Amino acid sequence: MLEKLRILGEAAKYDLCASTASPRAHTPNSIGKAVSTGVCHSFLPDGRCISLLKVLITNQCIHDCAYCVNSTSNVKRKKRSSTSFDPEELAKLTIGFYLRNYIEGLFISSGVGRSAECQADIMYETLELLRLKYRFDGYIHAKVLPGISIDHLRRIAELADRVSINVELPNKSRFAETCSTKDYQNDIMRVTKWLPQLQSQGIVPAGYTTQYVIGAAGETDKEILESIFNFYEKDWNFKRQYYSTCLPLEDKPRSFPRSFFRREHRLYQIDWLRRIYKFSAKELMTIVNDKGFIPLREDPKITLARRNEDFFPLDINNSTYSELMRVPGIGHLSANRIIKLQNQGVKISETKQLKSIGVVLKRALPFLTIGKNTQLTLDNFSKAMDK
Amino acid sequence: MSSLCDLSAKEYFQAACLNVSSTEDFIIKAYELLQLKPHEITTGCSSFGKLIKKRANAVLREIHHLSAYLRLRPFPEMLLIGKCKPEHKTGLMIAKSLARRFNNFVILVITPNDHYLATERKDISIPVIKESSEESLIQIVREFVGRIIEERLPEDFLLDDGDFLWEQYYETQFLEQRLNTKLFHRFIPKYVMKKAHMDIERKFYEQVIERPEEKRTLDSFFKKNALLK
Repeated sequence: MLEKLRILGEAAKYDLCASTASPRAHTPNSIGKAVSTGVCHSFLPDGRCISLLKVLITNQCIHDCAYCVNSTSNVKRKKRSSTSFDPEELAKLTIGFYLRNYIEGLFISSGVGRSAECQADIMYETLELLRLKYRFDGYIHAKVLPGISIDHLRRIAELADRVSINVELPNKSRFAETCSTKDYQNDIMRVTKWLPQLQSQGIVPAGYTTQYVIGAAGETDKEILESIFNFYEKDWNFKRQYYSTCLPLEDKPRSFPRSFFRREHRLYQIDWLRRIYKFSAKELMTIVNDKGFIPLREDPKITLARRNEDFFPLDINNSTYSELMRVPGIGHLSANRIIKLQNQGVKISETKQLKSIGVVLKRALPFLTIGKNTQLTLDNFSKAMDK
Repeated sequence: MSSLCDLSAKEYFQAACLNVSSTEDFIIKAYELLQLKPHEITTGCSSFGKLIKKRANAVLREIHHLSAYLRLRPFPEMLLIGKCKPEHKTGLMIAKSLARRFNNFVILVITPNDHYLATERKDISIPVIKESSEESLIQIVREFVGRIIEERLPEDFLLDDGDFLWEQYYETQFLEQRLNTKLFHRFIPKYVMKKAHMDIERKFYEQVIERPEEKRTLDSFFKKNALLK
């Protein structure tokens, strides 16, 4: 058990997931509950959380994806040993860890052992044991394999809270650069298209997600953003998308340039601007430079705010929620609190009040009017001089 | 941190009352402010309002952290036991928070000075147990719960070597390229590690930090900043 856990845990560490409260109805007399705690159960020295037991069912795989630690080529080169979890073992391990309050649930994925369908059967068997035999009611995220049938997908989705399929790369040609054994249209997009259909039938209560590997091929940020924005449209309705920098498998860990992660960070920022802050896709695309990349030096929200200088400064006491959300340094929570105060008739007249609300002053002040004052910056100084 | 946000003045007041520094005088004054100027508490725009909010946040943060980071030990009698050292009077709140998640179980939270029992089960009413020794307390609670609840947890879920298995698994998830100790401590501050007895995390963190770093040269500097150019 220990050896399997080490190997299959290690093999799953590059997958990304986050636990969330699931709207699935709670089963009485079951073990656990998928309620929101607001904080993950553990964190690693790399700053990433461990909220779910993230393991593969098997690390055997027939595909040759260049970025993947479990691909045929990498396994041969690194002489990794292959192993598999038995559904019963994995179910007991999950509940054992859950009861010790180490995890909030299970993230289950797998290499494509003999075939995708065969692995999907084992995944279903594990979920069936957990949900039906042991009445486990914690959170389950199932990563479905490329190329499975709709019946397999449906059976898994009926028992999981969230399902995901990795698109990995933004389009067919980029995908072909990294993998010769999978087909982007048939294996990935065909399965992905069934997800909105299943959700409309009330399956997959916590929605579905996907993941990109950044820097595995020669893809540009523009290509990635086009794919991201498309997946957030109503036809697709993805809950969220994850980005993971492709880590060289041979490189010495600490010599990997930290600046490479900045690209991933900027993609996450733009993703949030689209998903939470409701910036339009067209507007966000203007951030990308001529070469098709996001400038790494400046925060995208500040870039957009500086470009729309006619819109600012905003009077903090008379702005709507959507206007406040466009101000750098003001997020969803602080915008909500400001609106709440406006509704209570409380006027904000001092910067210390804003600080207490949670606004990041150094970013927000140049774009706000408090009372009759706006912070003087080089940008608005020249504007005032022009007037 | 979402649970810390957007609370009403009354909720901040209630939380501030659990703060270890809150005296009777403080509570009376805070109650007056709650009646007369509740917005001063929610925005923290006066010095006393700010103090109430600060104390409330300290309490809420402790409940928030310990409900997630407190490790439990399962017993066959549908009993889960955890130990922690809270700074404020939050033991019962932590037990209740865990009982919401494990709603079919009885939760016992043991602190250095007291113990707290909580459950969401309808068939059991929580008794008052006065016992100073930890071992005999656990024994009494086990016997009591075992008498009322017939259901038993299967042996397989108890995972005798659960902590060791978790330790091994925890280490496999670390990505050295992403080492970010600042972020780590933002999520798990050092004082929380002590309060929740997070020995596995602390041990591994120290092990990672003690690993020798590569020599810093001009080449490594330029390589690290390669993309910014």
